[in-house]
Amino acid sequence: MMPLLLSYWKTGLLASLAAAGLLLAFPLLDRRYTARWRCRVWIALAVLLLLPLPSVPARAPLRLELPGAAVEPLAAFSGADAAGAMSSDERAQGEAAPVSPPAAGRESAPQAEPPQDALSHIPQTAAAPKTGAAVQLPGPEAPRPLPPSPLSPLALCGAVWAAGAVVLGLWRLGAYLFFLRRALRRARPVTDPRVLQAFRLSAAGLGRRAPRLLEAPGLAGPLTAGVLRPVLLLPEGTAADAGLPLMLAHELMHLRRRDIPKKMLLLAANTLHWPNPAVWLLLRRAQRDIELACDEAVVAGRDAAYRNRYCDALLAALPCAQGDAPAPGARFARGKREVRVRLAHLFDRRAKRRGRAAAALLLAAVTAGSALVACTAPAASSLPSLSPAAAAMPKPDHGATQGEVAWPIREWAYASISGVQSVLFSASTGDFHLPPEIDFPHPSAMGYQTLSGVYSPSGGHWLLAGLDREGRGSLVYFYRSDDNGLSWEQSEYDFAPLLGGLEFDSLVNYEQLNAQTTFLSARVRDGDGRSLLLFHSADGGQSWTLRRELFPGTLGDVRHLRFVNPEVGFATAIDLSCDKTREVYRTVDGGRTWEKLDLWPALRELPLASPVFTPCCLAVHGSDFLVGYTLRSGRNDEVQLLSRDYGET
Amino acid sequence: MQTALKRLPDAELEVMKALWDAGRPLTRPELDTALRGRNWAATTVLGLLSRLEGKGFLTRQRQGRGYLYAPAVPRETYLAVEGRSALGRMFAGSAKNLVAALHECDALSREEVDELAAYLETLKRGDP
Repeated sequence: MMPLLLSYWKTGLLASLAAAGLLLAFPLLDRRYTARWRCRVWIALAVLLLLPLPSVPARAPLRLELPGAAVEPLAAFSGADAAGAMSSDERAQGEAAPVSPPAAGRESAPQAEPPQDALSHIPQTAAAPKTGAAVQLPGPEAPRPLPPSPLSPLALCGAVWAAGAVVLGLWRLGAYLFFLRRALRRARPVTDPRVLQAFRLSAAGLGRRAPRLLEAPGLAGPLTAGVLRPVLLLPEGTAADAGLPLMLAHELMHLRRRDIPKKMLLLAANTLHWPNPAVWLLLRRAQRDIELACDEAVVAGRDAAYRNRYCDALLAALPCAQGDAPAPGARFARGKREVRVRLAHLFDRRAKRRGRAAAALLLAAVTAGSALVACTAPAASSLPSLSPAAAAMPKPDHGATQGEVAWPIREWAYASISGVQSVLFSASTGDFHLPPEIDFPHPSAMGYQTLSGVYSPSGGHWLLAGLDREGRGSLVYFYRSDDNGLSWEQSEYDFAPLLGGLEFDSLVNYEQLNAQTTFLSARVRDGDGRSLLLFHSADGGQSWTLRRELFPGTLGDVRHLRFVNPEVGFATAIDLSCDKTREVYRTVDGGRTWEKLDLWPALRELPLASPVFTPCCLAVHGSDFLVGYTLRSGRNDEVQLLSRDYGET
Repeated sequence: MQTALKRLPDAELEVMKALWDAGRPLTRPELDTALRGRNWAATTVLGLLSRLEGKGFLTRQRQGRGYLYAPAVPRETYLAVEGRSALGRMFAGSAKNLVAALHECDALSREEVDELAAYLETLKRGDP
């Protein structure tokens, strides 16, 4: 859910940035286009802000890349892109650099720059078009240490955003309902027959949509409220003078133009995008334009005398200071300015209006802007996503080295101890025999004992784990060597409290990613089936917690579990819910939840005939992730798929 | 009497509004007619009336076989009580977002209104 939400917010943010670009770049809008057409633009933008724009996949026709995202395979043995979201903007971030606070801050920072592509189409925008390089993606070169905290900054920002939107929405809704209730409590039906007559005349065309007419004390002017059952409230004691029909015409025009639903739409967009100041500006502008458009509509098609009378009525309706003035101070100036603007606007009708052609141009710009926005979200991910190799892998369980990058390598390794006490450690870079003088500290009896673990050739670290065949089925022995196998430390840990009576059957994977994250996965005998348990240790093996239990109910026979970094890992398992094929799964939250990866699009492009693919093995090499497949087509070819971006491509 | 005046719940306020709108004391049947849109049971109305009397909002006098009910608190007095709400002031700004008003001014000074009138005159004069 989180990746979806985040991608929605991301595209929403980008759309609002496009809106900001438009707003800032066209202050001349006011002079050239009618208020009514402007309103439509604002509404269109509000709708755009509310809709989750689908993020166009990487093969968008118009690919405008943020330069920082031109990615080489990186020394990105680095922090987790915990969201792993589908939008490849995030993908680019995930590749280029971890979700560091600046990048995550981009989500919610109010001064996020507009995307440069949107601005490139807008001449002389007030906001300086920042190049993509300024869009902060930390430099791709530096490998960063793995972030220890389980809660990524991105998730935190998302939570703050959501909380803010909810709070603001509730406040606004509450304010409106409170106000309405209070006004209605104080209101009473209008009794003056002349007022009623004027109302009936003005509301003639509305039919069933006509509002209830009430008068209430404490109102500064007439107002309309309510969507489903609208009500028109007049200040108490409104006289049935010449100006009354015009005032009523204004209010009823609001109803005819459905201005209240429009305001609700704008408010919703504003609430959702509350961290973005451009959206607040949009709201103010739109509210002003709605009033102007209503004025326009009232005097449309009427002569100058009508317009003059309308302005007189507007002035006459202004409350003078003797009335109730609960809100003093700053509102004075604004109120006066608003009226000035409205008067000037009404008399400005002689100015040239471009009308439809211009509005069509505007709307085209908006839609083009939104299309562009959809394209910037997937910043270029120009990496190879496939390396279909027909070469057979020597042993399926060894990682195939890529060899061209210098990140720390963790090799999957296993060791076998045969009855005669010779120990063979194997990794893809070679085999190590332990000299027989060294008494390998494992109380094995006969038979073949397999240890599972990792080997780091760069540091000469061996980390292995093994089960106790003879003793308790909940004990795990850990062996560690930091000098290429010359000296060893042994430790053990009893998982009985975490197993709840079950016993280990075999170990699947043991790897230590950093000082704070170690994973151990093992199969346990559970009745007549086998489950896989995933354990996590945050202190290098001193203590363990159960991270996840994968039951045979949904995933059967999980094997080949490897982690790339503390958040992202892969496994193969049989999907029992779907014709029992072996599939590749991925986790992006440290093993708590797993999702199935659909590698079929990549597999489909391989030039092989009638394939039936079974994933047989996984290998992790730095931040690359390899899946090896065996074909059930009679040949011994094996196919590997390589992903450099945590399984996105 | 005014010191203890508190806001009324909705239902009681409706009864008071009916009395205020009538402008004269009402008998029970007349009150029921005024409140017929509400579909209240007779016992409900009775309860409301007795509560209102207890709070000092209305008085009743015997007349014939029934009572005559009259408001004891004038409408304006009560409205002052209603208006005195800090919450209301807080909300007032936000509430305006969802209503369509004729104008946004709460109060203008005399000078400002005159200024605007003068401005309007210049606009009119400039426009044949």
